Amino acid sequence: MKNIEKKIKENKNEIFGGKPENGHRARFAAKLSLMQKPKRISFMPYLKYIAAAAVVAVAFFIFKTEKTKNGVTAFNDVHIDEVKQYYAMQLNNEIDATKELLKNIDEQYRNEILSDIKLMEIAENKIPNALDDERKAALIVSVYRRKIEWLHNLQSNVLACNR
Amino acid sequence: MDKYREILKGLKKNDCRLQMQFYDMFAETTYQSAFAILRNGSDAEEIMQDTMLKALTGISLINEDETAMRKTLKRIAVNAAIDVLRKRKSHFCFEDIENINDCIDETDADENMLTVENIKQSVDSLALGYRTILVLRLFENMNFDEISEHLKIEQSSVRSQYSRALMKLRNYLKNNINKD
Repeated sequence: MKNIEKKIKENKNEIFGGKPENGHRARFAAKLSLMQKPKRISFMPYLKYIAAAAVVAVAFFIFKTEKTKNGVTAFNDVHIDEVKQYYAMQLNNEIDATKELLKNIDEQYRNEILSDIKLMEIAENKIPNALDDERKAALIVSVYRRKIEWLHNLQSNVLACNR
Repeated sequence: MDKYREILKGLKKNDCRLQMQFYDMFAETTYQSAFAILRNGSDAEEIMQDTMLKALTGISLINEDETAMRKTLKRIAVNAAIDVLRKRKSHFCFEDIENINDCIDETDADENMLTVENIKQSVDSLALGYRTILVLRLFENMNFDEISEHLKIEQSSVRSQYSRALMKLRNYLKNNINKD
């Protein structure tokens, strides 16, 4: 009996232990920031991105309205690809903004967050063909909005840690 | 030790960077305590992170001694992991381990069979109750009194179940590993 006990004690980490999965640090940082009092977050670094997104949105709207006036197409007939393109651009802007913020944090933490961002980018990218265009568009909008929201939370956490 | 003291000062000011350093210091050992009992990575991570949040948001839990702090976090994680087991297996009771008919054989398995991989395999084959007692005794270094307190069962029962767990391990090694 003693031999087994001794052997287990000597190798207890290998026998019973394990290591947390990648990204645990970033997940904890997010939880921690939610638990703490709301902090004042500066939106200045994002203003140029928000402004760019607004300009694109307005341009997109004017372009479509003009087309409708000319009888070419109706606003409701916006093609799925255009919807996807528009939100993909917004997402890319947010990813760039996040990467900019990550420049000031330590390398290990940054790499973990970057791998999470990559996972987020490829997640839920397939749209089922069986859906009609209206549902496809709704799905695209909802997926991209969730991704953008996730990036906003991440940016807040990183800003809080950078303070 | 100086680094730890610096971290403690930062915790009082809610310094995010130092809070993360506190996390880095204790996350792995706290995780291992939960993982050893639950054998599930995501559950163990959740318990580990909840434990760290409890410590960081309830400063009263913070101990000035690093070793004592580590011990406190491990104990919180162990209790939380045992609670998870109880909740998930409402029918499960640590006293309710089947009666075993294995004959008592105090001789150890062949020394050659005592490889880490074989022992790991035999530990995984144990019933949940036996494995939990083994983890608390050999991984957490608890004495029988402490185990009895954590599992809320009689100390004599802990002792006999621990002996049975070791016997089962040995029998498993003799009967299963030998045949491979």
